[in-house]
Amino acid sequence: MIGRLLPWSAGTGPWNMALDEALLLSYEQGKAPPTLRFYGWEPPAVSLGCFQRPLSEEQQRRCRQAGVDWVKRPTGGRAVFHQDELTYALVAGEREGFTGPVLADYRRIGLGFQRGFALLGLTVELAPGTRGHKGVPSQACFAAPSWYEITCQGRKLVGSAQLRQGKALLQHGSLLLTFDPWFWEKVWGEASLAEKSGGLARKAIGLKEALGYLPARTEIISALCRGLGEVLGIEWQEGELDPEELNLAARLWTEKYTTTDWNNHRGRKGLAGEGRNAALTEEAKG
Amino acid sequence: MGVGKMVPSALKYTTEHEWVKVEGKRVTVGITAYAQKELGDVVYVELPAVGEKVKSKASMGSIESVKAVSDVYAPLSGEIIEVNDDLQFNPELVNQDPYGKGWIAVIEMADPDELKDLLSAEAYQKLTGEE
Repeated sequence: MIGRLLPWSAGTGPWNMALDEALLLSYEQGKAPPTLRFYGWEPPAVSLGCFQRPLSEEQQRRCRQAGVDWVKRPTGGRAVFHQDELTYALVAGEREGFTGPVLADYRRIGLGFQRGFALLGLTVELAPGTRGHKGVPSQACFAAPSWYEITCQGRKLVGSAQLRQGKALLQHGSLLLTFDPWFWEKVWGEASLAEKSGGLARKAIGLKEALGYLPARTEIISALCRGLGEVLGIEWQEGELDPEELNLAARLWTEKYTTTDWNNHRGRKGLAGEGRNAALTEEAKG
Repeated sequence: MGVGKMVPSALKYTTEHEWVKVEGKRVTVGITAYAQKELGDVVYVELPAVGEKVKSKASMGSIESVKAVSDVYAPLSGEIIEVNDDLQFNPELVNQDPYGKGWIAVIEMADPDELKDLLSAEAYQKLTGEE
């Protein structure tokens, strides 16, 4: 099976999210193959899980002061600060055997990345989750590994989250290249994190520390693609965005991911009158 | 083959794994035991709003489980007349009691003809292999 690998690019938080959702809609409508892209964030940004509480006014003020953007993701999970990291978005679905359960699909993708890290010479583990665990100690994604997330030396190396829509899924993942807790200490201002600021550093690890050096970005992407390709049975071939996907991303950027309606409200229903992208979905159907 | 407690025979089902209890025009909706097992621990449920018009097979809410956000689809068209507010504070009810305290919403059905699109317990059991 052939998949599409898009070229690495760095974008703003809202643009990154708009593009990833456009890729999901395009795949869901049968117009695009499974797609993988790696990207960066310019400027640095914090992304919030779809159902997290929005940033407080004080947190927004501190983000502005620090030059940090913020955006709400379409995927679940908790807050991620994106700076020195490699982010990926994987769009696939039933056609590639992702038919659920959710945990089985997470595990399969996790095994692909585990293979990719092995190709880089790094042994990583897939974290065991805790069934029936209620409540989370922190709003930060890297404070604790969830089911089948990738850890190294018992510390979280990649955080991930999904959106499942129809017979398609979008999985986001953040691979830390280096971990610096400054954002959590100086900007986020979560008391429990600030008190245990050393704690977060003990729970997260960057690739540079894990490997002892930082490979070139192209080398990391190449290894992760190979690993993921081997496990998923997908041969990733370099490709480009379709103009229709680009148009859809531009609309999502304007009408959703740059709006306070979306970013400053919890959940998927922040968009006035439209609910969950009804108009955009209709448009994507053509 | 009998239909066991995982697929109660008094209910109707959708291929998207919602269950439906029909009482006149009043239709109670939730997700099936099979669906909650597939999703894993539910940590958040975004409910539709009372008064909201929903369309059959269109999304009417969302569930977050294990950091995955999934749609909940309306099994029938109509208007939301009641929602299960308990799920806002106790989303785990969807896992613990999917056919009881984990119900999601009540729809006032607009078109009874749509009932024929729903699956019987036997047909749903075949679809999922549940007992």
